[in-house]
Parts: sequence; C-alpha cells; structure tokens
Amino acid sequence: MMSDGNRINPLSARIGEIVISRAPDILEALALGSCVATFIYDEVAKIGGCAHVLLPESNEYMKRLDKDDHNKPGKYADLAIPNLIKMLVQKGATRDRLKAKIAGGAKMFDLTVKSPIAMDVGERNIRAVIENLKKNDIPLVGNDTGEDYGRTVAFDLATGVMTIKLGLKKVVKHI
Amino acid sequence: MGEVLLGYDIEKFSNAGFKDFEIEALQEIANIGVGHAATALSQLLHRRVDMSVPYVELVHYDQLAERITGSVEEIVASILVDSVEQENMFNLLLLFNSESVKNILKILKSGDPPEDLSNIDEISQSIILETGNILLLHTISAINSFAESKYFPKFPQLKIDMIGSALQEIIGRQKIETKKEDFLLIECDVFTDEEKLKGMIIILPNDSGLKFLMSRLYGEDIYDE
Repeated sequence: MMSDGNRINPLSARIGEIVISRAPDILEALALGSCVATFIYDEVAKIGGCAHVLLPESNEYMKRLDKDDHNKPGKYADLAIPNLIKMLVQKGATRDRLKAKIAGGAKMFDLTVKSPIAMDVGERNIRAVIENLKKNDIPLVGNDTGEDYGRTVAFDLATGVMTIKLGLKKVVKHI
Repeated sequence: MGEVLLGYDIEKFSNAGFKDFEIEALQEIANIGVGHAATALSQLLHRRVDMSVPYVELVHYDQLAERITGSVEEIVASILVDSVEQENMFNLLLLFNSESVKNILKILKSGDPPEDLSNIDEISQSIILETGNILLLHTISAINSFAESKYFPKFPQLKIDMIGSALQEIIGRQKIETKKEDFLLIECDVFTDEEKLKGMIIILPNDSGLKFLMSRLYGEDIYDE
C-alpha cells in the first residue's frame, strides 16, 4: 500500500509542455498568467495529462518554425489538444471517456498588441482551448479562467479534482 | 567594441536572432537609460545613490522567471510602460523583488514595511508604481534623446503577483510581435547608504520598433545587405 507520505512529487508542465501520467500521480502547472492549463483525463483508467498552452493558434505565429516548437507539443491550443488526446490514447485511455478541466487565461496587463486582433492573449487562449475541446468532442467539466490574477493549479489523477491556488491571495479552490 | 565592457557572449546573442549591432545599441540604451533613472531616483529619495554597471543578458523565456527570482511562484512587483511612436512600440517591464519593494517603502513611507507582498495597502502600491514609473520614464526619455525619437509613454501599470504569471503575457506578446523567444534582461543594482534596490528591466521592442530605433541610430540603410 502506498501511503500519502510516499506520494511522488507533482509532475509539472512548463510553458508549452505536455505531461501525462496515471494515479496516484498529481499533475501541476505553476504560476499561470495568460497561459491556459488544459487537463484531459479518463476517470476510469485514471490516466490524464496536462498541456500548458501559451498561444491560441499555431499558424499565426509559426512562420518561422523553430526547434523549440517541436519540443513543445502543448504550446499552441490548436495543436496541444489533439496531441494530448493522442498521447493519452496511446497510454491506454479510452477516447470516449475523456473529459477536460481548464484553468488560467488571466489578463495581467493591458498590453498594446499591434496585430493581428486587438484582444488580450489570455482571453484568446481560453476561447481557442474551448473551441478545440468542442471540435474534438471532449466535454469541459471544470473551468476557472479569466480574471486578473495568477494561479497555480494541481490535478489529482486519483480523484479528478483540480485544485487552484491564487498565489497572492492565498485562496484555494477545488473544482 | 562593446562586448569587452560587459563580457557578454556575442555568439550566444546572435544565435538568438538578434544582430550584433542591435545588441550593441540595446546595451547602450540600457546603460544610458539606467544612468538617467538612477539620477532620478536620487532626486526622489533625497539621498546619494550609487549604481552598479548594468548587466545585460539575453534569456530564453523558459529560464526567465528562474533567472530573476529563483522560483516562478515568487511574488514580485512588476511595472509596465507601453511606449508608442505610431507603429513602433518599445515596452519596458520593470521588476522589483520583495526585498526591494520593502526597501522602497522603508525609504518613502513612514511606518513598518509590510511582512510580505500579499497584503499591500493602496498608498504603498501607488508609491511602488510611481517609483517604477519614474525609472521607466527616464529610461524612455534617454532613448528619445539619443535616438531622436518621440516615444510617448502610456499610463503605467502595476501588478503584484507571481512572477511566472506576470511574465506569461509578455512572452505571448513577444512571440506574436517579433517571433522571438529570447528576452533582453537588464539587471541593475542601486545602493543608498543603507538600502539596496535590485531592479530588473526587460526591454520589449516590437519588430517595427526595433528596426525604427536601429535606423535612427545607424542610418536608414542599416538593414540593406
């Protein structure tokens, strides 16, 4: 029997990364701002993954595809979600049972962005993630997005509970 | 040549998609800007201020937060000023760690400085914002006077939150505007007799802003092969 004390350290997805594991592991994304952490999981097989999405669309920014983009399958929402689903199914998850919970997409600053659309990155990330989940028939069952503060998010693969800590206000939410 | 002065690795810089002359100019901007800013700070604080030679570094976004504080979850104060001349943007982000924030408040505000940054009152917030704003405005006016540009700063914004969260929007924006993933980070230590302030400034030009500044400094044909 594995006790709580022996629990493996949380697996952290850095910007643009996808991490995948199974219970009793915990997945996490630290200090989310405008990025959106997308957790997709199979609650029966207890397999799940986290994509730390930085930007909404690949084609818009990938005119010069660099090495970095190849190493970061979770960087763009439109690629991250199909990549994550594929990796989960390979690992033994059942496609029809997959569900998603998302967090992040805050607006930290009012940034002047010249192109292409005058809307903040966080808001566009949220929309892109939700659209791509819909496109891939993944039900969205938990959502803590927007606002103007940073979040650290952990996802317990044993229970499917997403825990959100607000770094500044020291508030904890469970979704 | 500039590379001897601060000992930066010119090869590492050019690998990141910046040209040698761009780095030299941005470094000069850093030197002059921080010099002006320290003078302004000295006037604001009514005390003698010494400063270190700014250390300029190109950092990939993956390492940016850890390079500045050691942890992405550390709470910092970040002050952002958008500066625009028509299509050309040149944004500056200034970061103070919690020790520097406490020292600023110790100098400028009566009473004990806060225990940590999570619960700072409004007056303290506006003191931090104004201190950052003065430093950044002087940096911008230094840029304007030697590049003969007319950058006009927009209102400054303060965010006190986890450094990782504050930087993500900047990383996303930089990727959209310039396709670059490396950031020009200027580290500068300012000392009074008793306190030390450590400020990190991140320079964020957009693509046309960078080209505009370079043509001002080196002539219109600098990008012609």
